[in-house]
Amino acid sequence: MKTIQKSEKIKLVVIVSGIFGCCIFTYILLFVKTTTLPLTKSHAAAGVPESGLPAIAPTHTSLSSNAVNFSLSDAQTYIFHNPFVGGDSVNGKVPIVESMQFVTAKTASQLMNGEDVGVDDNHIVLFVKEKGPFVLNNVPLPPGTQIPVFTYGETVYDATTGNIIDVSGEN
Amino acid sequence: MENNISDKKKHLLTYSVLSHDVLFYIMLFVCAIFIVLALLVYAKVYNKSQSVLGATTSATSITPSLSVKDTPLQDTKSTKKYILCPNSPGVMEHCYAEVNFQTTYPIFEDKTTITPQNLIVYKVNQNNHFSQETWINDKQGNFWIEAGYGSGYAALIGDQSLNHFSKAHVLINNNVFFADFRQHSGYHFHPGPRIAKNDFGKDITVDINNVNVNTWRIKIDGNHIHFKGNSNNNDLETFIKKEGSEIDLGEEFVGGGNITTSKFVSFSNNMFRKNNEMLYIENSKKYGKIMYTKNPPTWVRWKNGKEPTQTNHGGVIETGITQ
Repeated sequence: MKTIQKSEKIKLVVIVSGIFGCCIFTYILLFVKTTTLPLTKSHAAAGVPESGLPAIAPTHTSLSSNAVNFSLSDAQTYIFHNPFVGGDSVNGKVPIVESMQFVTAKTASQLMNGEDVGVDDNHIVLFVKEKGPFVLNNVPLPPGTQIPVFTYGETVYDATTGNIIDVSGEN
Repeated sequence: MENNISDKKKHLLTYSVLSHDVLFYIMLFVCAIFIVLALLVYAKVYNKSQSVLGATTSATSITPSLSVKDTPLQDTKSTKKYILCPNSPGVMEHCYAEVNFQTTYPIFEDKTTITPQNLIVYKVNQNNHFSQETWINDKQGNFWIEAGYGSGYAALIGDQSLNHFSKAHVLINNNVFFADFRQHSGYHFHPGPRIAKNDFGKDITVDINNVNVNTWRIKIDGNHIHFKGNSNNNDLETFIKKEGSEIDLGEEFVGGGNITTSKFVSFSNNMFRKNNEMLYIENSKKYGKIMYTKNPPTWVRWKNGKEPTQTNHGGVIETGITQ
């Protein structure tokens, strides 16, 4: 029997690698293209689910109601990558952050015409107002309602958890 | 016999001489088959998403019917994003399947028990969300409040060209929420806590209650969920006193792509308050008119044997979604 030459061995290795690669490619196409929503860690005390949507990662861990567990710089970085979640900006226009401030929940409520922020009045929140305009196509609406468009998108973050606790559209 | 043996030898000889070339071509052939298979699988997956999303072409054509000027959605260049909701002209992106209950008099409380299931939303680069909820509103949509739970992604479709933005991130993940719309103060979405995995199948009560002049209290209570909030300065009461009320119970779907839920979500103990009296919704003119609406891929039905006329406890509504 003729022995297999070195160049032919290389050919074989290339072919086998090709087949293996094809298998991996097929697997990725079939099973990895879509992934389910990831579960994220709750910052809340054990057994008590915490309110809001995980957003800005806290850099401190104080649970005091007046705790501010991230900085404005952290918030800026987050918002740069994650602008207003309520909907798309019209014509792909880059939203302008008009204001970003740590305030009490009471003040945030006043800034939103009395809207309930969902935490105690003295709790510190980050109030962010972005200028769009925005099409609120990504939030629940009643049947038969036209998709609203608002000049401003407002987001309230819990300063303790970094979670989003209010998403608003206002003119 | 001899001939056979010599044939075999000849064959072996030929094989030994050509074995490497034969092996090479066999491997090449196998490799080609794998590549073709991979391409076929890819084409199938691609076509599947096209067939689900293909209706977008029609959907985007609805855009001009939106009354708001200068608000073309950012994806107008794309032809593959939203599922068309054929029964919802003008409500391009949102499909609903719900039971609609209307009265000529004001309703001051809307209460239901939702048996939640895991709402699985797949991550695709587009807006997607799926929620199970109840709405109370005046008939003109001037003011409304909704509450329930849902899952979804915010995809920031219009911003894809701005490469510093995320393509898709979690909006809600089986979080309870309430939202309200007040004409003078826009729209507000309040995400609450997430329903824990082992709490699927365990009832949560959702209550939207007019507790004071222009103040509505929203309470969502479940095994581990205790979420409440107020809709303040809400003139809903003024409007419903003039024109009557509307309650909807069911599901809402936004977007396209792969989005599904594995089990039925049900609504039971469907109640409302007329003045100071709590009543179950009934399929009777005495209390109001119930209508069913469903827009594929969302669907709704009364659970078999649990129609409101049969149970006297507001019936049991089941909702689901088909792909």
